[in-house]
Amino acid sequence: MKKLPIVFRQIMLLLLITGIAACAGKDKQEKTPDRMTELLRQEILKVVTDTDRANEAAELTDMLRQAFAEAEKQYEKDFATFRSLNANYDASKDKFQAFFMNMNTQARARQARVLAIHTKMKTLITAEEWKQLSDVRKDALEVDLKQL
Amino acid sequence: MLIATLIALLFLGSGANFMLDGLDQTKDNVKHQISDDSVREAALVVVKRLEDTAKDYAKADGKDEKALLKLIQDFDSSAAEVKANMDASFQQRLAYQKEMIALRFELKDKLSREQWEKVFSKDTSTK
Repeated sequence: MKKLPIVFRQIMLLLLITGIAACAGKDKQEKTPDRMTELLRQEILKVVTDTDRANEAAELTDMLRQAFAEAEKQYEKDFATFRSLNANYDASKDKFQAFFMNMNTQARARQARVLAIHTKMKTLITAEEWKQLSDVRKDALEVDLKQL
Repeated sequence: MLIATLIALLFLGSGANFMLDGLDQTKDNVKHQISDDSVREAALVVVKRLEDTAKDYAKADGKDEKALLKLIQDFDSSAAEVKANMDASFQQRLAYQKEMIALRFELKDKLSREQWEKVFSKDTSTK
């Protein structure tokens, strides 16, 4: 059986750790980052009562969604490059080092971008709302269980 | 928590450990494509080290994921704390990549060009 790429296994691991896989809603086949960012956007609009702050925080989820899309595209490209490089008997160590350096540079840039989104999010959302966003997830889980 | 998970995923993405993918196939190919017993056994020893290294890294990376997730979930954690976690994880990733590259070349030293192509040919490898 074809193995899932590590990045998707990481996603599933984190979903399991946080319990989101269980509360992703009725459509159990759609647990993609796209679906998750949309779920987060909806939660923010529900929990954050101040409209301006809610809209601004919701816009940040669009930035997260974009970061995910770019990361996925980059992953596919990196994976293909790595496989091709690895299959090449004549590929030098320098080639591998250059490949990883490029991949790591992009990963670091994305981390910095996401850290900035995270920091901005915390300036828009209060500690209580942050906690409520977690509670909303628990509530959703309870609703889902009641529907069984 | 959803928000923490999304952010953690983006911190961790870009296939830090995608070298683990395909190792099972590599092992199968070595077993079935290399007819010379001594070469096959020597190659399998290196493949085992590749697997062990990748699994050890995946395990350590899993701990980092949990620590990062906890930090992101905590409203009171600072950006500096999150960044420190990411930096430590990144250093671990660099060391891992270096080790895997070294082992890849060790495996290459065990195989001829023809044997290498049998093991890593596009037709026999999977994504």
